Amino acid sequence: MLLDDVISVVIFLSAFSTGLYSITTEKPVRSIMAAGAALWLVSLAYWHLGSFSLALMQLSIAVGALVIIGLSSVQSFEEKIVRGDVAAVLAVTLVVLLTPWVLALRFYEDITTSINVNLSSYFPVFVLIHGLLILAGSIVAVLLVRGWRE
Amino acid sequence: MMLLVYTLMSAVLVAVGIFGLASRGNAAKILISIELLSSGAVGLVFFPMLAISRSFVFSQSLMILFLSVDGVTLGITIAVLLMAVKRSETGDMNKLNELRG
Repeated sequence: MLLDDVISVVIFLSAFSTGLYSITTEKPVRSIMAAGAALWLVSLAYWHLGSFSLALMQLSIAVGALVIIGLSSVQSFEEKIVRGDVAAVLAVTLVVLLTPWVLALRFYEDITTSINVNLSSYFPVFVLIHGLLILAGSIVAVLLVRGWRE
Repeated sequence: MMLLVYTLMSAVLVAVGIFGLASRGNAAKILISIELLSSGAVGLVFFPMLAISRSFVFSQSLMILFLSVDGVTLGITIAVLLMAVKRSETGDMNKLNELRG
């Protein structure tokens, strides 16, 4: 069995277990973080196959959506936020902001070759701005839901 | 082998999403299930298509379109569910029966 096959099996098992845990657990923040991990693993699978643009899109859309779901649902259902939950949300936020940016910065040439389009050299900056917009959108969602409840 | 494993992974994510939709009433869980389901569905199309067509550029372009539509759909779903939570003042989707005909 090749190393690539082993990696794909590890990604498969991890995505399966985190996905199932996210649905079955009763802890809301853990559930969202586990779903984020499962979707991050899907983006790793795309990356493993060499599709950097798909990996970036999957990562930014899926994890960004989960940050919005997480922050707004924590507010709307009045869940108690403990210190570990704040750390988890911060960790996912950092993943949203930094991983696509680092990927775009590191694999800019590969992405350009892979999709056969001559991307601007500012592409990594645009990706970072996209992450910041997702974060701003999630904060606005939290403020809106908090406004509804008060 | 890699493509087969990733196809299985996508199928499992679709199954987990359907299980979550069928068994959970919490709005946040439903949103998470939809996200898992749609990501699994995109992968379930992409990996076999890559294996069959062998055209990486075509498969990738189509999947970028699917992922974009997926993002838009999720945005609308979040908006609808948040409005439903606001109107009903409960996160339990089993109590929402206004569409019952």
